Amino acid sequence: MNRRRVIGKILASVGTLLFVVVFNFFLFRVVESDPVANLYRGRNLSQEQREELRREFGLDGSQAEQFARYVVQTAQLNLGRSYVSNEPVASEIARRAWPTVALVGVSALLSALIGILIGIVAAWRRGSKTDYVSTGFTMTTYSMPDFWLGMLLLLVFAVGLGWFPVGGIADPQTGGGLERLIDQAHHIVLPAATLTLAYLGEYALIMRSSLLDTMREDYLLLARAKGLRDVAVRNRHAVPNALLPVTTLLAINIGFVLSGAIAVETIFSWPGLGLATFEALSGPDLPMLQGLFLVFSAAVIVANLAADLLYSYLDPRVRTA
Amino acid sequence: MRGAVATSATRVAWARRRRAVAGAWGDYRRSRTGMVGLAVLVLAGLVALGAPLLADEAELRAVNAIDNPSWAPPSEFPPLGTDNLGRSVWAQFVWGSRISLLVGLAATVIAIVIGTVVGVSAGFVGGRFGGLLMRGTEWFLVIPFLPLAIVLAAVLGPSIENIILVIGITSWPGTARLIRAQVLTLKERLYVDRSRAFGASNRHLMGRHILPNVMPLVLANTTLTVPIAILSETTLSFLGLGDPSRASWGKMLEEAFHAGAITREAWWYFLPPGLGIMLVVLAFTLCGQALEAILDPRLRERRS
Amino acid sequence: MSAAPRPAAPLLAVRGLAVTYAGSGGGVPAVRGVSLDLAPGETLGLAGESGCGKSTLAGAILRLLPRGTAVTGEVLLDGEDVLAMRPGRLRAVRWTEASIVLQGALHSLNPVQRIGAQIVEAIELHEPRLGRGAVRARVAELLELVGIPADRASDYPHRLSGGQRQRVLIALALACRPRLLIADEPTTALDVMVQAQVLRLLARLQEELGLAVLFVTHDLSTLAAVCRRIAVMYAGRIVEEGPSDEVFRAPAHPYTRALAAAFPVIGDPAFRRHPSGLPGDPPDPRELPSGCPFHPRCPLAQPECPDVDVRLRPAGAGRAAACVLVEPA
Ligand SMILES: Nc1ncnc2c1ncn2[C@@H]1O[C@H](COP(=O)(O)OP(=O)(O)OP(=O)(O)O)[C@@H](O)[C@H]1O
Ligand SMILES: [Mg+2]
Repeated sequence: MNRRRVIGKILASVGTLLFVVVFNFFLFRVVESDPVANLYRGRNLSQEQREELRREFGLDGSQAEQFARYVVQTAQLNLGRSYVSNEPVASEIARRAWPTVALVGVSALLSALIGILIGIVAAWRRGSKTDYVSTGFTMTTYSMPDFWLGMLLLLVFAVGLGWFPVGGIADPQTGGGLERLIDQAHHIVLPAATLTLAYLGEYALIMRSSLLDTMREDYLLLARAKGLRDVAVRNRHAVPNALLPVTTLLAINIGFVLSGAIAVETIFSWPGLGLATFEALSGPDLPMLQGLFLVFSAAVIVANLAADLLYSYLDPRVRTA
Repeated sequence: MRGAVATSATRVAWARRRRAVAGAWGDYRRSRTGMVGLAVLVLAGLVALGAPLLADEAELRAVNAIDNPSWAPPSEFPPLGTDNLGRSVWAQFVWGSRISLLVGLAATVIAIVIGTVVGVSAGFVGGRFGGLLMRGTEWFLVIPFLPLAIVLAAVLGPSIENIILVIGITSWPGTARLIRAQVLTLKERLYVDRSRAFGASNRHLMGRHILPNVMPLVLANTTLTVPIAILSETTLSFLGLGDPSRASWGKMLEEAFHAGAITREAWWYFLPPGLGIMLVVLAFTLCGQALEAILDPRLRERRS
Repeated sequence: MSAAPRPAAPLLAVRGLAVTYAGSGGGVPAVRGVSLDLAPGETLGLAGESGCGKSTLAGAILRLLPRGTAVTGEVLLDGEDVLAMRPGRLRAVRWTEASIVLQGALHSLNPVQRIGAQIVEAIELHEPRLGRGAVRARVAELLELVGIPADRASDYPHRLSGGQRQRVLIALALACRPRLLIADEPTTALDVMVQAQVLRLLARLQEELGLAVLFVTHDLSTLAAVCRRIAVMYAGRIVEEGPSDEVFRAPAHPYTRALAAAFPVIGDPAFRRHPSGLPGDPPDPRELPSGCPFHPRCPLAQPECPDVDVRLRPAGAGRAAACVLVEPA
């Protein structure tokens, strides 16, 4: 792909990001209801407190003033102050991003890897018992609410069998260094298993149908005619072609999984961005919520861009066009 | 003369459509998974509609459950035990199915209507207007659904109407894109050009050629959108954004989690709603796939 | 079969081949008892309308048909029955003894592999001891042979034109120096100029390398130019066979006559469907007419045609035809 197209795609992503920034502003303001009233429903607020809150949220002054202030601040990566912790939202988010990145990274890779393998086996033995069992399994996990799956795993493996801790990222009692790392690995098992199971279904189903499509192609017949073994036809010719759409899906999903882990992080008290969202909701912590929304959207946009570029790198038809 | 020709043409068109529907049902019946999905859906529909016959709504209120044991397993309080407040889990499950299905269906209707209108206009009108519409759709596609729904639900306040609205207006872009692609394909097809050459009006084209041919796709897409909407309701309710006054399956899970059902190993409290969601979602997906499979060869045939 | 003496023992001998595809509503008998011989270095043309079973016959020779397809009869390649081979032996025979240029060349190259790599794969598979340099030299030589600059080996298929892709496929088919080349409609998707080039290329290669070629097409006039002998297929059977100039000049079967009389209108899709200029469509193999399957469309149909199952009968020196009107000479 030539440089012009790459630059064009990057510019389009920046445009989308700007849209999200603007959208984020209006989302909290133009909606008919009064967010302050809604978020503090059921609490007695005096008129002064109300005014104070509005000012703190940047809701004072004219709409234009508010918007200008918001744009300037966002450009400086100033997302306001958390109402609960009184910390800058940006640093709060940065601090809590790591547990999420670790959890989502591990489970995204595992789910893609396992899902793709399941999809390959199912497609290559289409109609066999293996196909029915694996497709049935993946469709079932795909149909479960992810956090419910987490609750089941908690019930069995943490409460029932006692193999894993019920939540958190580390035991406060453990020391540092390697010991701490092992403890964290112990803590990540159940949430990562939950997300892996919840997401592998999609990869398996897409890989299966992509490979089934590929298997109709003439070049596979030619590869067989050359005298290649079936396994070689599959691994060298069918799978690389079928993987193209799945790779794109993986890149896009990583963007979405960041925000998709909200409920699962809540279940496991995993102190990442998802739990932060849940806490901001019950706070209620409007600036934090706004900042999180921006970060989640930015993650999707960046992941989409990455998927686009990755696809055009992987597919020679696009790369060298 | 012209009138007579037109009515008989209409009659022929209707007869053909009726035959197409009958043929499609014949094809559908051959799909075993599709029939299983349909059976589960019928069962779920019966439970939801027959809720008053299956459990007393009064049992949902904690004040009426003071005399019941709390955390009673099913063996002590059939059929499904009680929760931390002594309320019957069975009653919550039965009445909760109503809200979950209602939210899923109503939100899907909103999403499908918006998606179809945007998709058809973008595809049919085309040009700069259509391009603009699609640009907007692409923007909405990248906004992560769950955070948007959370923020909207938080800002609008928790009520069943709001949750329907939130899910509905966050789920349409995928449908819009799909429908637009289909309309573009239809437009390419010869007979649309031919009837335009005969001076057919846009309204005629839309009503006669475009809409009847997108509708099957809309139907299949609907069946695949409902499960997503139901899962969304579950997650939003679980995060405390559901209607606080009405039980839904997602709300049950929220209450079970926060009441400590897991540490108490009170599986009877959170297993039924989760299973209910899973089965309904699976059933909708199976039906949607069966529909797609019927549609797909026809779509492909038309394209070639 | 014709009784004329063969110049040599046949390289390919097909005996009573029948192919039935598995279909949802019962089997599809696409080939129904075909026998033919091909001597080393000889060219045989196989003609017939779309759907008469040409590609099925071609695919059956290398056992490339989908799983579940019933294939009976014998396919003797150098005296060895391909249909009875064990998988390992079959894989070894593919591409070294016989190779194929598949119909639909535009899609038979893997889009994400360089064309050189796709040729190398075949060579390394069958001649694993060949050094890397020798393999590369062979690839360059093959590409030059079909008139493509050797440095295009590092290109991806989409960078080549249709004609170039067709040539690459021919080069690929010659990679392991087979003695038999099956070319299934190698010129159909190409424009006239390129068609002529590819035909000349095939004729030259056949001569230079002493290849035996089974040349499949729906266009009889191309065959007459390239092949010494031709066989005409209809509804899964060979209905006429003989030296190409004679068959073309004086067809014995009414179907061949129709094919030969038709002028190809290149680029007209209607011609592809009805190259014969005959009324009606070729029959669906699941619902074949009784007797001679051609009788509903035959301009010379006789009263007995719906009832007689005509087989090939001798029709002059080295010729045979399946028609009641053919009197044994
Ligand atoms: N995989 C298959 N399953 C079932 N039927 C098939 C299959 N492949 C081909 N057929 C049928 O077998 C018959 C012969 O097909 P074949 O491809 O051999 O025809 P052909 O002579 O090569 O035609 P063309 O000139 O169009 O290439 C056709 O009626 C076709 O519909
Ligand atoms: Mg063919």
